[in-house]
Amino acid sequence: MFSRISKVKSIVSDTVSFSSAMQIGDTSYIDGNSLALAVQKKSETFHSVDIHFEDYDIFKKPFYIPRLNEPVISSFSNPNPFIRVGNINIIGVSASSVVGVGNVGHARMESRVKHIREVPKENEETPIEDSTNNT
Amino acid sequence: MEFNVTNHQLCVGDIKITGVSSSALFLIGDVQTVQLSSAFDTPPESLIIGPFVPLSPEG
Repeated sequence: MFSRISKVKSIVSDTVSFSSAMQIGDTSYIDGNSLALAVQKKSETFHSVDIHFEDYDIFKKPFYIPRLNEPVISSFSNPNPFIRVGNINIIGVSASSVVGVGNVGHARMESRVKHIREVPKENEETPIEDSTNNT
Repeated sequence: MEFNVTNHQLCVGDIKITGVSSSALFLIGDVQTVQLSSAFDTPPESLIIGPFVPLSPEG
């Protein structure tokens, strides 16, 4: 099955960050995992707050992952053994993402993001308590 | 079920991407299996508006 060759003229990325990868060449397996807690609040200062992933359900729940072995008999043939691509320009690769050129055996990617917004009441300038709510 | 694939010519021009993020996968090539899973949570409860008890007045 892995008989095709990827031909890319050029690949440019400005940023590859937060455990992301640019993989050129064949890969046996990719296992990406990203957990993010995004706290937005209206405040002059950000105190260091005790925030733990375990406090939020979204990080605790076991994930539904599509099954690997479907009852399908597949066959592939490649009369043209090339995948040709021109110039690739990517501004950013982030949060355990992968940009790959080449064949891959198995890829499993998982992402969990929790957003929390804290805004003060209208006409009220006092900063609000730090959020440690359990949702 | 039977699934037969014949790959003839595959030519792509230039690709411009702003961002690949949150465990996304951008791949040029063949892959045997892909499993993707994603959860995003911003429920109404996550919007906390002001303190419930007013702060004690000064003086």
